[in-house]
Amino acid sequence: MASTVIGVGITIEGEITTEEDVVVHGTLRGKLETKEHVSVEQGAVVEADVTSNTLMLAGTLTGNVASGERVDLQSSAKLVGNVRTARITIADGAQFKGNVEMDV
Amino acid sequence: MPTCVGVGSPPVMAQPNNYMKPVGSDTRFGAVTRVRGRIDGDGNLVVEGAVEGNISLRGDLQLAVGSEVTADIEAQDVDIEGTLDGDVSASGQVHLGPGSRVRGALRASAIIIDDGARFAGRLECDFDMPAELEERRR
Repeated sequence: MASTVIGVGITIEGEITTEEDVVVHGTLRGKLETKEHVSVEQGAVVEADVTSNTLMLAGTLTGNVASGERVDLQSSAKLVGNVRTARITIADGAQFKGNVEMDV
Repeated sequence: MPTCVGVGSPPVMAQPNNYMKPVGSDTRFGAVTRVRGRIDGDGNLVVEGAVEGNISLRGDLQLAVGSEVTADIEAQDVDIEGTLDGDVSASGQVHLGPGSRVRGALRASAIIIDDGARFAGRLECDFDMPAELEERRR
């Protein structure tokens, strides 16, 4: 499936709104909203509130996350912010500071 | 002879320089993607959706068919097949494709406008006139 990609070396300051997968290798400051999957790759820096269906985090994210289905923090992930989701995995080595909100 | 504005088939775009860049990491905004804000950095960018803001790249920019961009642009080569409202400053060439609609000032070392392109604005293009014409102007 087609996706929106932010390449290494690219910085976006602003708002991204889409209905397809988003892959971040570079830097994003602002807001990111999609109905599909977001991957924040290793080395990527996101300072934004993220709304998506699913989130894979291997880079650094500062901001609040709202993902309908699931959030996966890889071992290289750094997350500062609150997470609201239905399922979450946190790999050994991941750094996370914030609250998790789930319907329990 | 150096030419500035040319009419004709699309130019052969310079091959992107992928040296030391991971393959496939070029930036792309899909057709359903809207970006508002400032975009800058090193690398190529393909826009298929909508952008509102500023684009400043050390790389090539392609505004694909169906793209809608309101932005001032700085880049190397700029290939426009969609709709652009804004000024372009290119260190390489600017190409307006057959379905493009552009309103703004274009500044580049070469500008190519295809048959069917719609353009309202100014062209600025620095090049040397042939010696005999230079003489006559004086």
